[in-house]
Amino acid sequence: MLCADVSGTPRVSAANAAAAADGIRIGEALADARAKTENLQVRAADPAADDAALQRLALWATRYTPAVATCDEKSGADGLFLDIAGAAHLFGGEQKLLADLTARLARFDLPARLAVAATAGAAWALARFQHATTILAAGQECAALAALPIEALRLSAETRATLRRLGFRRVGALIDNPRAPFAARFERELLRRIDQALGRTAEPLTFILPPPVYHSLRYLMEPVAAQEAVVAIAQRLMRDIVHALTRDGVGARTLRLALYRVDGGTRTIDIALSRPTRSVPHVARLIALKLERGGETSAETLDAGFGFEAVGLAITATERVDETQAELVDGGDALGERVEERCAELIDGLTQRLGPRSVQRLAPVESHLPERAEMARAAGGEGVAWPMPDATRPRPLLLFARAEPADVMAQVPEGPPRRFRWRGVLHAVAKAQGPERIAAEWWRNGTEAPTRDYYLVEDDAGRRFWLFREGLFARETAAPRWFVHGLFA
Amino acid sequence: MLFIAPSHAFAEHGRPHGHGLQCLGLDPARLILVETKNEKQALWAMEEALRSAVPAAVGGAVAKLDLKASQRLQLAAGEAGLPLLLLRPATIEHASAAATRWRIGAAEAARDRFGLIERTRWNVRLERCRNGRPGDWLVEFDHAAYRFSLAAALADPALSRGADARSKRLRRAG
Repeated sequence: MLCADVSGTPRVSAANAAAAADGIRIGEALADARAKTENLQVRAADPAADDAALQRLALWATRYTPAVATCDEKSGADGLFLDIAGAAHLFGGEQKLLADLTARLARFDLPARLAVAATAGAAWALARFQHATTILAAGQECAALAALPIEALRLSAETRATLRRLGFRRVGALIDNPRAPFAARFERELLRRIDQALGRTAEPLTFILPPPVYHSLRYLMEPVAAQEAVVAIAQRLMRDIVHALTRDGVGARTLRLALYRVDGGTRTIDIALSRPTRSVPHVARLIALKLERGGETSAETLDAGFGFEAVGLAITATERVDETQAELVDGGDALGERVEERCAELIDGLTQRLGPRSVQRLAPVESHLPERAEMARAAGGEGVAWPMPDATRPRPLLLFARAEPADVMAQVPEGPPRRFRWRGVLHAVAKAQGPERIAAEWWRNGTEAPTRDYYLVEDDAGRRFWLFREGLFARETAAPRWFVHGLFA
Repeated sequence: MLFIAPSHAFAEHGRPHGHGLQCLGLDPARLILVETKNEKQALWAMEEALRSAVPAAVGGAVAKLDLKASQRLQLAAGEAGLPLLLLRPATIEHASAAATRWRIGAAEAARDRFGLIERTRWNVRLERCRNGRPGDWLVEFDHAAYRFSLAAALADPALSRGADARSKRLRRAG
């Protein structure tokens, strides 16, 4: 039995079959329950863990159909909706699918009540209030629901209480009566739930994963655990999907690989591509790289457990691909296209293995501050054109992410440096060029950052540094500080 | 062009600056930077890039490189027919399988009569070369014409001998 605090009193929130047989009702105070029966086992209810377990189960259930939704809070968050339209025939019919589902759930020691109906509302009602597992043909909802109690309609507690007070016991009584008085007396909820259960209005379900555009799934006779085997199966799945992709003239932009473990755990791997692709080997390689990368960090190893019994590959986003006829077009165009494609493949491969922010391209930013004047962005896509350089403003080849402090000796406080010590080494300045004065961008963060004077400094060995003095002497600060910001070639 | 280095190398030597690359006549839009967690990954990424044969050249900075790893890279670069340029710290003296080894040091820049830098110069020494003779050159870059060239013979190489401490070895494979 589980208990939870309701307005300061511990109350029964869930009870198993044995407790229910002793007359314990959900919602009564814990003290009353203890009085009814001896040796009552009480645990605190943990709604967060319940939700997490239901999510895990929902993820597992995507092995039957990619469209899985958990029942929402209002309808009692304790069940799953599986949209098996178009998926049942893969198992040899709804009957066989239900049998398979029951058997697998029983293996996890999860007692389940199942029902199949044309509407989510009817399935919900039948699963909860019909004792035998039911498969309801479309159009029969009215007759099937009429005999059920009004609780079967997923109504709020207040509405249920009011209906009970008014003498309504069965759903049939609500269906048969004229609608207008109900609409006047109750919130829209009541009529909406009736209509949803009977299929008169559509009920949108929020699926736990966005439904994929293309989907392919394979059940394995023997569970596999090796990474190579997983990749090989994924490759076969991709080959199945490629036909559909080619037919529709699109390529995959994002993919999701789902691995279903024998013990019910599910591992999903999401892969994003920088260019739409239909290439089977490319996708297989990316999956292999991603799995390898998982293997390096201990947090997300490919934990196969007792092996994977099913593997699903879904394409969640596609993009139109222009058809190319490589054998007809000769010369530079086709070759250029190929290079671009292979470049995207290389970037994808590196990104999968090294992490999302590791492969970058530089893009210019309109800013006077050197550290803001460029931005690293993901390497996918086109490079941005850079403006022409200003020959009077030399910029270093290497720029430090953070300017490093240096001890500088200068003849006059506002003059160029004579000697400076940086990273423990003393450099004598042979020539200094500058200053180039760069004012802080006061409009950006409001506070007045000090002005910088940049010098291009060459030491006696010919090494070229980019130093700046922060703060104007006597006007902004009494003791200006110096920093090394970059190195010239 | 692909440039690959572990993140600690970027922290120590600074990141390539787009505007600085432009000052040397290079287009930053054609450069892809790859930052890896460690040197092992950097070596993997270099080999991967070479095998794909997509970039025009692969550059990288690694400190540790044993003979076996350098042989692998040399082989990959040779098969792809791409140049691989490895920047190494100046102090390391391990044998490697690279085709050439260059030592590049800074040299005093040529200045105009106002004391502004007109042409930056480097002291370049070819230390090892398969089927070739080692030699010393002074290379300069003309900031007005965006052009590298050999400096006039009158430049005194003795001036820049002391620069070796900072110089980096640059190996060229393939």
